[in-house]
Amino acid sequence: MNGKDMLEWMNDLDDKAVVDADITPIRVKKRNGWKIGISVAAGVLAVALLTYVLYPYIKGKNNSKPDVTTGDGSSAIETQVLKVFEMAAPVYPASQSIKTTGEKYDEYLAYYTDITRTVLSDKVGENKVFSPLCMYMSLSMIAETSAGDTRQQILNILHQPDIESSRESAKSIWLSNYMDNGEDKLLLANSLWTNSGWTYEQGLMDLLASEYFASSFSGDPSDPDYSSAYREWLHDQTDGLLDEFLGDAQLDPGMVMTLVSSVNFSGKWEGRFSYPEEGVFHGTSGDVTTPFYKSDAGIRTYTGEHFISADAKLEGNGSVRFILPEEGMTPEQLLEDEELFTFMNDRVPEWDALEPTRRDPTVMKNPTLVMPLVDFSSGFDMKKYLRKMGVTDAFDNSRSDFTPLSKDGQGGLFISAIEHDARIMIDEDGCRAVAATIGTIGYGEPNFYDQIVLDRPYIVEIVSESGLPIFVGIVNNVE
Amino acid sequence: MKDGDIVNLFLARDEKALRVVADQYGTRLNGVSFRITRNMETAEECVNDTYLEAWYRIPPSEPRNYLQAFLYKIVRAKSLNRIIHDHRLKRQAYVDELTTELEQCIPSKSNIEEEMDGKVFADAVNRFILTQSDEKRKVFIRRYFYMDTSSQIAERFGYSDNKVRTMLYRMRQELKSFLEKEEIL
Repeated sequence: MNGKDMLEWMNDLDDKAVVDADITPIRVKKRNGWKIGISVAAGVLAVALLTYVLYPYIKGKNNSKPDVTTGDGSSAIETQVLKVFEMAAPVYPASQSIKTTGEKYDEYLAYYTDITRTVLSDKVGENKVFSPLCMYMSLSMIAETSAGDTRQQILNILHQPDIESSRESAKSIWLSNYMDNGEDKLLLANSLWTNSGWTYEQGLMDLLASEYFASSFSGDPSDPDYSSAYREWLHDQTDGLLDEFLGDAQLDPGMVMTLVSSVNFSGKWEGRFSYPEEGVFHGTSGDVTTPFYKSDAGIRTYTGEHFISADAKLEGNGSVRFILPEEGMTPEQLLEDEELFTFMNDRVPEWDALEPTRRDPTVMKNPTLVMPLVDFSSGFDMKKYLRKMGVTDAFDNSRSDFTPLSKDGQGGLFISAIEHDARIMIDEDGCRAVAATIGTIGYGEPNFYDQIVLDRPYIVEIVSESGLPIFVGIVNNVE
Repeated sequence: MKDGDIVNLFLARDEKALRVVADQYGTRLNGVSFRITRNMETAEECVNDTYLEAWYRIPPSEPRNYLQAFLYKIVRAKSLNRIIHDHRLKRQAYVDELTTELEQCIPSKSNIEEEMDGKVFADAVNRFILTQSDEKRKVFIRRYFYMDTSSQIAERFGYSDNKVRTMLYRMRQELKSFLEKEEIL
């Protein structure tokens, strides 16, 4: 008896069960030809999305809206034949002009350190993932729509001296990282959903289209068709992988503008992961027996004073880095370690810059990475984190300044909500989300460990091909 | 036409039965075979062979209530036979992948050289899948009867690839325990 016999014997499975399994309705629609789960490829997936809404000073003060009502009191918007129209559309650069430019991302990395520490140190013991890149794009655009101290506070957390530098940095990051070769991808997308009852500065919409590749739409936020177009956009940009959070998304009827950024990544492992063996993951919620996958191809390691890191290379689309804290230390505690961010932010593989003792005898020769499968989502209300980082005026209608966006709401517009949702999927084939390579050099010194076994909470980071950290999270538990 | 009426045509040796079966089930049978063989021409041959075999097997068989499953099983067996023996189809690696997975269900104490009655095995698997939830049972059958890839299953049910692989892995482990407990192998 062997597996081949067993496969043949499956022919005698129960008739009803066989027929039932063939009439299961297909519940996932394919969109834009993109296939979810790139078979022997996409493993890690991380998608991020961020929304912010500007409200009129007095919520529901529709009478103050300019000229939107007809004589009979009904809304002019309701009579529009075209319910959703595009105010500005980006002109995407030719694909050959989108390439890794080798730009330095010093400001981004400084921002990355701050926001990662702030966000991931919260919700201790839970799984969590977010995309600093997604947040960066949104914050850069919010800075464009604001002025005065409101703008300056945002620029401060982006570590940008002025709006011109911020704009240049965001565009450079977009151009250096956007990629889509049909199988592997790092897709960045921005959109603005405006209220047709308000007047906006067209120049700003055009600038956001040309510099941030943002599409702008206009419609009545209380119109179900407008919300439907909004959901469709979200679904398409995230391949439906965030429907758990966004499947019922509605535009708030009282909003002046909703801004959305998304990041969608997928990549295949360069080396194969073998058939799984069962092991125990010691999570914060208890021990769980789960399949673990092994690979020793394309794994590079670095051992810090309080952590071990393994980089698993993706085919032409960056890498995923797994950082395991030393025994007894939680990932949240490790976030305070200075060496961790020195290591994470050093996208150029020149470890000579570090003290020799740091890399000496602890570098593995032929390391094996042993990992569980991961698939989880996180939702964050970013207001509290941004407040903690010094952005206060944008949320306070008595101090906020969004005059570059619309003169209608001068002195009355503020950010009412800012949410961030992300998902990461890592399996033996690869990763879906965002990825990047970080140079981790393995010196041929004596072996200290020969395996990195991710059997307890760890940090996971996805880095793009250009070296930009795009997703970061903490795995405290597995399924 | 109802399955019972189609079977009556077979029993009456009326060749119209073949046309009705082709109209009613031809596309699905092609789909089942193509998913296994990945070759349109081979799939068509397997489906034609299926009609012929159904002609010879009814009577004595009278699958009035399970004609679809009856046809599926014939076409699956023929398609599987083709990919195992026809190396031009280049499906050996996929068969190996599935057989390796199924071998994980063989209890460690069993003697793999020992002869085994396929019917006994299938009966045990049938009892096992009846203990599973509806969704798990369907995933298992899609994988080992229809021979779908995990990504095809994921797409069909709206799951992640990860989830499908983990579900299958766990079900194989459970099946192994079940077979040990029932002392089947």
